This record gives sequence, C-alpha cells and structure tokens, in this order.
Amino acid sequence: MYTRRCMTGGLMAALAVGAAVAMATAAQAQAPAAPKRGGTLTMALEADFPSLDPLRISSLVERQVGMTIIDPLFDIDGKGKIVPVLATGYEVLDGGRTYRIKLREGVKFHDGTPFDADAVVFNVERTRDPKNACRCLATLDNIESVKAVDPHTVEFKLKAPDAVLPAILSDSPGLIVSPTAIKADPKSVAQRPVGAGPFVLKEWQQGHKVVVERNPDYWRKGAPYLDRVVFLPLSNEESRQSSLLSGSVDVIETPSPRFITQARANKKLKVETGAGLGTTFLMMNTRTPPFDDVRVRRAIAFATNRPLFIKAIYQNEFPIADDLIGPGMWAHSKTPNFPRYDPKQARKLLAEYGKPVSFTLGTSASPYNTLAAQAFQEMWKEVGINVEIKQVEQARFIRDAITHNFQMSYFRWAGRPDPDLNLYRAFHSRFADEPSSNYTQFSSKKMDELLERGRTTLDLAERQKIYDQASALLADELPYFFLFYATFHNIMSTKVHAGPIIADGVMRMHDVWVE
Amino acid sequence: MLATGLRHAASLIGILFAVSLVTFLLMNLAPGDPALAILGDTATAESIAALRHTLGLDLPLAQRYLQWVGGVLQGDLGQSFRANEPVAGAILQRFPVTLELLVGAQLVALGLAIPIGIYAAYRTRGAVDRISLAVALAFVSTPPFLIGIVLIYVFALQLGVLPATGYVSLSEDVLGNLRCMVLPVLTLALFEFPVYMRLLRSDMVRTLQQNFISLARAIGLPPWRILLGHALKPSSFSLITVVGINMGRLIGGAVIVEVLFGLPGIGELLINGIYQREYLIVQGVVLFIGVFFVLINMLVDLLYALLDPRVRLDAARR
Repeated sequence: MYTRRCMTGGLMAALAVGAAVAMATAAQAQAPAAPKRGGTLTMALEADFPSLDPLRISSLVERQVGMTIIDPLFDIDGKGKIVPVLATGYEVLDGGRTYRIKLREGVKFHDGTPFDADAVVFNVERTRDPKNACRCLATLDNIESVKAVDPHTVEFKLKAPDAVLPAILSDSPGLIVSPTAIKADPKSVAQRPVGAGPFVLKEWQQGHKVVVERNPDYWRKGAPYLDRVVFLPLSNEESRQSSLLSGSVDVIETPSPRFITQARANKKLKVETGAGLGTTFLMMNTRTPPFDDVRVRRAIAFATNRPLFIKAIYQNEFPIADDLIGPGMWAHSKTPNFPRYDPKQARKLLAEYGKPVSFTLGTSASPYNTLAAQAFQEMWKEVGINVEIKQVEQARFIRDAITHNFQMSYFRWAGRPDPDLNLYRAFHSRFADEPSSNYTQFSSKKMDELLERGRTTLDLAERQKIYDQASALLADELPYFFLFYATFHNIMSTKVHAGPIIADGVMRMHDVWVE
Repeated sequence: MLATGLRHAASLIGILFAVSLVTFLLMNLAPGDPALAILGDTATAESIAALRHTLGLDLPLAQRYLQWVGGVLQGDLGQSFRANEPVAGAILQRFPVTLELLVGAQLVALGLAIPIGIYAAYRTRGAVDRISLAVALAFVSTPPFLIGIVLIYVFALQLGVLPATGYVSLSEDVLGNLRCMVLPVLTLALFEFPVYMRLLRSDMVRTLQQNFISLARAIGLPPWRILLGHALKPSSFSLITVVGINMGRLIGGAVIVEVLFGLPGIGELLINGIYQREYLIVQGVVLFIGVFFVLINMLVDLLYALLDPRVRLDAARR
C-alpha cells in the first residue's frame, strides 16, 4: 500500500511540474484576462425546489442557489480539502473531543445584523432540534453541546473523538442564516432566507425564477463580480440545452451525455467538470437471494463490461469507479483488487453457486436508466443470468431502497465531502436491521471496525489508509458494484469565467464573472 | 332559466365533493410518504414518526379529510409541507400563466380551424379540403412535445427570432410576455386545431344539405352570407362542446408544454406536488381544476341556449 502511495505521489509531482510549465507557457502567450465587474449571469437549473431553509437544503439545485445567498462556516476547495469561509480556522482539543472554531470578524448578514458566535450557536441548535426534522440530523448525533466562548469563538463538545466535524460544517449544517430574521418570522426562512453570502435574494417566483443581486457589503473584498444572477428551474433537459444554444441562458447544469459531447465540439461553449464526490453503482441486497451469496455478487461484477457500458450509454463522459470515494475527495485513491470484466470467471462462480440466477433490477424511471438497465440485461444474458427490469418513480424508488425492498437497484450517491459521510451510514451493521441508508443490509465486523476508526482518527494519512482498506473490503464483498464516478458537468458560454471548479458541481458565484 | 341554474349549482357541489374525496384518498393511499420524501435517506423510524406527527399525518384519515374540507369551505386550501406557503396563493400565482396559454391556444386554433373548416365544407373534396385533411392528420398524430421541439429548433435556434424557453409576466413587460408565449401557444394550437377544423367541416357539410340552405341559395343569397349567416351557427355545437372540454382538460393537462417551455403554470405545480408528495398542493390543484371544469361546462350549456332557440324552448317547456 505504502509503496503504491509513494509512486502515485511521485507521479503526481511530475504531473504538477509538467502542468506548471505548461501553464507558464500559456500565460506568456496570452495574459489571463482580469476579472470584469458587472453583468448578469443566467443559469438553468435541473429542477424546481420548494425551500431554501438550510434544514431542507440537500439537492444539487438547492445547494447551488442556497450557497449563493448563504455562506457556510467551511467549504471544500478545488482539491476537496476543507477550507474555512465564515470560520477562519479551528483548534482540536481533548484528542478530538472538543473543537474550538474561530469566526471571521466584521461579517454582517443581509439584514445588517452581525454574524457572531451566538448566531452560529442558534443555527446549530436549530439544526440539531429533532422537531425541525433536518435531513442532516443523523450526521450531527456525535455533537454533545455547542456554546459561544467569546463573540468570535464557538466550542463544540463531542461525545467521541471526531475527525469529520469540519466536513459536516461545510455541508448544509454549516450554512448560517440570520437568527434575527428567523425569530421575527420563523416561516420566512423557507422562501426569504437571510444569509451572509455574496448575493442577496431579491425575487423568487416559485417554479419560475430566483433573482439574486450583489451584496455590496460582502466580506471578501472585491467580490462578487456579477451584479445579478438569475436562476431558472428548467426540468426538461432539451429545454435547458436549447436555451443555452439560443443564448437565453449562460450556464446549464446536468446536460445529457450526448449534449456534453456536442458542446465539446462547439466553439461558443465550454464544459466544466466537477470531479465528483460519489459514485453510481448497482447495489445488491445482501440478505435476499440470490445476492445473499457473495459468489453471485462477484459473478455480476465479472459479467459486466464497464468500459463498454460507459462508452455506449454515457458517451464516455464519466470515469470508471472502483469505490465510493469520488475523485474530488482528498481520500480518493485506487482500489487494485476491484474485479475486472471476465465472463469466464463469472460463469465459473455461477456454476459453483449451482442454482439458476434470476432477479429484478430496479431503477427510477428515466430514458437513460431504461437504456442502462437494458444494457445490463443483455450483458448478463451472455453468462446465463435472467433479469427483469422494474422502473418506478423517484419517491417510491428511494422508499424501496430505505426499506430494503429490492434485490438489485441502479443507484447513485452524489457524495459528501468526507469518506465517513459516504461510507458510515451505508455500510455500518448498526443500521442493517431497520429501515435506513444501509440499503443492502451489509454487515461485517471488519467494516464496522474500520468505519469507527475512520471517524475517530484525526491524522489524515492514517485515515487515508483506513479508507483504502474499507474500499478494498468492499471490492471483495461487493454489496455495491461500482460503475462510474458521479462527476458534475456545467456547460456554459465561453464568455463565462467560472473560477475554481469545485468537485460537488456547485458554482461558487462569488468567483464568477462574465466578459 | 333559474331552474337550470339551480340544477347546475347542485351538480357542481356534488361533483366537487366527489372530486375532493377521490383526490384525497388517491393521494393518501398511494405508496410514498411525505415525511420520508422530506427526510430522505437519513430517515430513521423515530424521525419519520416525529415528522408525521408535526405534519398531522398521524391523525385518522377521516379526521384529516374533514379538517381539510372544513378549511376549503372557509377558503383555506392549507399550506405546503416544505415551504409552509399557502396552497391557494401558489395556485393563484400560477393560474394566469396557464389561462393565458389556454385562451391563446384556443383562439389561435379556432382562428385556423373556422375559416379552413368552412371553406373545406363549402368546396368538399376540393384542393383546400384535401390538403387540410392531410395537414390535420399530420398534426393530430404528432405529440405536442415533438411539435414544440421542432418549433424551438426552427424559431429559436435556427432563426433566433423567439426565445426557446422562459416566461415574462404580462405586468412586467407586455411585448416580452407575447414573445415568450408565441411558441407554447402555437404548439398547443397546432395540436388542437385539426380536430376543431374537421368537426366544423363535417357538421357544416351536413347543414349545407338541409332545406333552408337550398332555400337561401334559391333566393340568391351570396355564398358568404349563407355560410357565415345561416350555416355556421347550427354547425358549431360539436365544436363548442369540444372546445369546452379541452379548456377543462388543458388546465391541468398542458403540463408537457409548460415543462418544455419552462412556463410556471398549474400543470407544472401539480406534477412537482405529486413527485414531492405535497398532498395539500395536489389536492388543492385538482379541486381547482374540478371547479374550473364544471364552470366551463356551465358556460358551454349557456352558449347552447344562446345559439339554438330549441334548447331555450325545451328548458322553458320543462
């Protein structure tokens, strides 16, 4: 393991030097244009959304609009590292049982009230209150208490040593809104959230558009560059694409793979790819035949030609995945023992299993999912596996997953900024018996032990080793058969300068400018 | 006339009661749970139970229905689970968009269908009749989303004269509103007009064979007066019925066109409500569509009476 890391490290260094030289040459040839101030950016979103209350922010769309208005305590940078935003840094005490977080001074919410330790405590307590039913509640269960030490310092006391808190506070629990505004009108936060972000919410017509305007008092000096951003929910893929082509919007998210390929050939457009924090996979219920036998799960892996699949269905726009830790995360690394396509091996395992294998493959209803499911059906027919496809709408599909009511399911986990947030709730045996996000009811003592150590170990290099072992274990046990990483594509006019590309696909609007 | 009015009012109440009950049951008995939809994959048994309690979903079905109907009778359609916004407000905000789309589409469809239909009936098996039949068949067998995509391709991408998607409200900018409504209106109109045109044509052909038309011809009235002054009115019953039904159907059924062109209409609200398990939004929208449908039908009945003295006499005799 260690040798491999050294080698990859060396390779990375060589690449970095190469890239630096290339960039220097490019810079000499063409000086990078200085950011221009002003203008409006119009972005088409993949869906409408009902609320921007941090308690309800979780989807890509909600994060995109929410993070434009509401700044978080922490964020991830272009390499997936956790960096402070409204925080300025933190101290870890008591071996990871206490976090003392320093807050940025002189920051004001859009209503003019100061951002301070009391505001942070108010927000965290609100998120932690079970009555408020935050989606994020489960990720906060290690917090014992939170208090203001002085106006610019907050202290978190934790039940057990915790390496994940800063990552959690870079997600929706770290989005801080004005307590004054919430106290004045508790319902207002859903549709008129008051944050301290680079833009102020001006207008929101449900189902139609959200207009935000520059925050003149934003704490990052000089930012934002844009005067205004307009978000349009256009749930139809074709409509987003034609709006971009006709110039009525400047950026679209979640284009079809075919359109990505077209856009690469179009001189007026550019494709920006967020490396992604998660993975698309086939998950198999480890307590229901035939997948209660690991040989059948492995046979599925050997019978699937992933490179061909990704090329045929997704125009090669997504990289092959061997684990649940996306390339945009600091802990991403290779998993050499992940099974490769080998139909002979698949037939051998099926022969050992001895019974005919047939099962139902569930997907949520969409044209691409239909194509994908049919491709699997054909591939597995080659080794004598019989598959029935069952498509249901999204809400029902998720419910079936949570209640373990499936044999195999074509699923996507968009990913979160720490391996613990991707793996713990998906594979820890303590969730296996109840309805939960351990969908496959996976249980393994070794996995439990790795997951516990992973979240309590503070040293990053140590944690990396632990999660490498977890990925290796998953590659042997295969509750999930990983297919490709959930990269995010935003396609935009070449006039748009997007700033650093972040792995989660959300454009950080304070960095964006237009020519 | 009064009796007719009362009969209509009674049937309106009956129908709306049935609509409210069926929608409520369909939504509440269908698989999927708003609490689970809100909590997502981090839900636990306890957090689901707690949220169901907060949302009032743990009360018995009958009690929830009565509560809802009680609110509706006082003009309160309830509030959405996630945004806590009044459902009535959401519907009223979106209704003008759908209404404009509908009325526009019907006017354009009738504007195409009436002249072509009359002329095709007047010169049966003539060039116009045959060409219009072919065109009608083509449009009526093309799904609206395809018509929409072709229109976007031609007018927005190739010619660049109209926006591909988007909506500007009338109060913001009248010209901008018209520009963004042209393609959606045309999409619906092109799909609707063939039926209108063929209906009018066939009824008109039948009318033109009647004695009073022969008489009018014998007197020497010019063809346009015979067609417009004498034949059109008695030939338009089926047309009016179908236009009425379509108005009711499209108030919630224009969703494909609304989604394709990014119009924030009623259909789009309904579909999102279904996906997100926002029971009260779905119930409210369906009830609203029900009221609209019944009102349109009353209007159509009144129009019959205006157009045909026999209907009036018939009602008076009763």
